[in-house]
Amino acid sequence: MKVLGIETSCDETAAAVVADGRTVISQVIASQIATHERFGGVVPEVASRQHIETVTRVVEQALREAGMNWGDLDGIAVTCGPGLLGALLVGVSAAKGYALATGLPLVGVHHIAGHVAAACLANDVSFPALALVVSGGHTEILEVDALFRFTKLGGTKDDAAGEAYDKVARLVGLTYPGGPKVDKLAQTGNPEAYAFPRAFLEEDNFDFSFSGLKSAVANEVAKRRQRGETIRIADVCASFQQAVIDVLVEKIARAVHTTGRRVVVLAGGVAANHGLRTALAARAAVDGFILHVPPLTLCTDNAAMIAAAGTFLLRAGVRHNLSLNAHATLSLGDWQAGRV
Amino acid sequence: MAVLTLDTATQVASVAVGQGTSLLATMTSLVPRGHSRVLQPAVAAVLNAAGLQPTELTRIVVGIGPGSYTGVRLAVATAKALASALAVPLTPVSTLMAMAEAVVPDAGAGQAVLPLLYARRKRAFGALYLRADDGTWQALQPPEVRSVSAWAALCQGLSDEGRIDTGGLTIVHDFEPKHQVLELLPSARDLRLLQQVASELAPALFRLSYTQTLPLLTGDAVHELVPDYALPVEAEVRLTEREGNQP
Ligand SMILES: [Zn+2]
Repeated sequence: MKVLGIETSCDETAAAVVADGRTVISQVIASQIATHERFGGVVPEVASRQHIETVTRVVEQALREAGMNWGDLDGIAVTCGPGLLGALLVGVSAAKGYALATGLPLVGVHHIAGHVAAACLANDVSFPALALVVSGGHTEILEVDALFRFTKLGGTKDDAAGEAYDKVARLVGLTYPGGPKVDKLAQTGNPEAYAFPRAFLEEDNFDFSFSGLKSAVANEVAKRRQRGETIRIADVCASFQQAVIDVLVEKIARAVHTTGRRVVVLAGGVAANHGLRTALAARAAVDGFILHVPPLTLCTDNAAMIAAAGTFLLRAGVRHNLSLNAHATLSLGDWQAGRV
Repeated sequence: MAVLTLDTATQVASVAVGQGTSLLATMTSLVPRGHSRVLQPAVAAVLNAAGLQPTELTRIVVGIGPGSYTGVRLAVATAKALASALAVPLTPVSTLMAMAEAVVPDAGAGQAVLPLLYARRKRAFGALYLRADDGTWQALQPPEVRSVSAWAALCQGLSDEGRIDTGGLTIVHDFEPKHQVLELLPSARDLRLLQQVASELAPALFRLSYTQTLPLLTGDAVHELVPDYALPVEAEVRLTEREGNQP
């Protein structure tokens, strides 16, 4: 089964062709990072304008690189939420135009389901499994069943982990996008230099909170600056990152223990984080669960993951009609119930 | 020669399909928030009503605004996908010209029309069209954003020069009383709300496809088509100002 994926939920215009939900045949990503860098963050209207300039070109290129025509495809998958509404609408409108022109089945994919599917593009993942989703907008532990249906076990109560990364990056003077820079600096810093709090570790649930940690970092930096002490940014990054990782690893290990699931999939932009990948692999070895991580290139937003998720859905008999809409906020529950 | 037209740049979404000079089916919706949901099902419905397969289309015509409302992108994204997947030419049309054609479909030569779409802060996207002897619309003022008073001044000026007859001017607009610009409009013989001529938009776009000389985009030009936003993104304006202020 060959599926075209389209993703425009934030600042990448992407299209890809994936075979059987496993093999990336082609993938094209037009990144807008350089555009948004000037603004210090993503400007929604600017993003939407870039998407509409690029979307059909990116799709055509993905087909050309795959050496395929529309007739060679079995379906079209598009991110229908959550994300920036104007940005999502460009991808959804184009996907519906393609579905209308070609008669191909259309399926709207939840962005998070796409991130989870990214891990299947390199690994032989057998569902049911647990998924730890960590990105700029999400920090969640999900249970994924054999039909690729999701049940949320827990999530962040305030900031997403990726959001905390970006805020800490700004605090220590690293430019947008700061998350990966914090990870890189953390590798040279001392993770025990500062004692930052580990939130929710003591509570018996799978929820997260990172706003306290973010404030603790802000207070520590302000305090030391006031005293005229030099702050080793690498140490701040390493100590902050260690606090995040400790919580994430502990919570997913608890979920493994509680549910009895032995397969864990790491997903989302922060899945590219070196420290997190290393710590999770170590814990998997000790606790005896199987960890699947996406290839680094598929951790950030891309369309191959949307095509892969779309493949699983089409196989399970899910398809959407031409009234498919885009949704800035979209729960996995609403999406699975077909409220799209 | 089966032509499909679509426009979602205003509060009115319109779709039409026709062959040659025969209009076969249209759809109109006046729920702005519903444009995204109804546009493609409407295209499927008009094609079905006309007994046409999408693959039988030979041309796509799309209203490109102006407009800053996110809706302006819905039809353009859909039309670009349709044109590139079906490998047929894509024709962009100003939504303002479609409004002019919709409000006075049988206008005689010399008829002037001022279509206006509200653009916040007492401004409007607009254009001034004049029906030429050959029945086409000539833009005396191409689409742009001006204050509503500036549009009134423009009409007065052209009238003073004898280039238009303001007594015979028709205005079509989407202003609401709360915008407090109705009183700034130039005097006109005929003043109409867009909503009143909503169902005329689809037939108007279709007529323009064969009465007006319009571009036929193919290949890369299809990819390059973007809506006519007429206004820059505010964040960009602020950034340029900041950069300009730096020593
Ligand atoms: Zn993402």
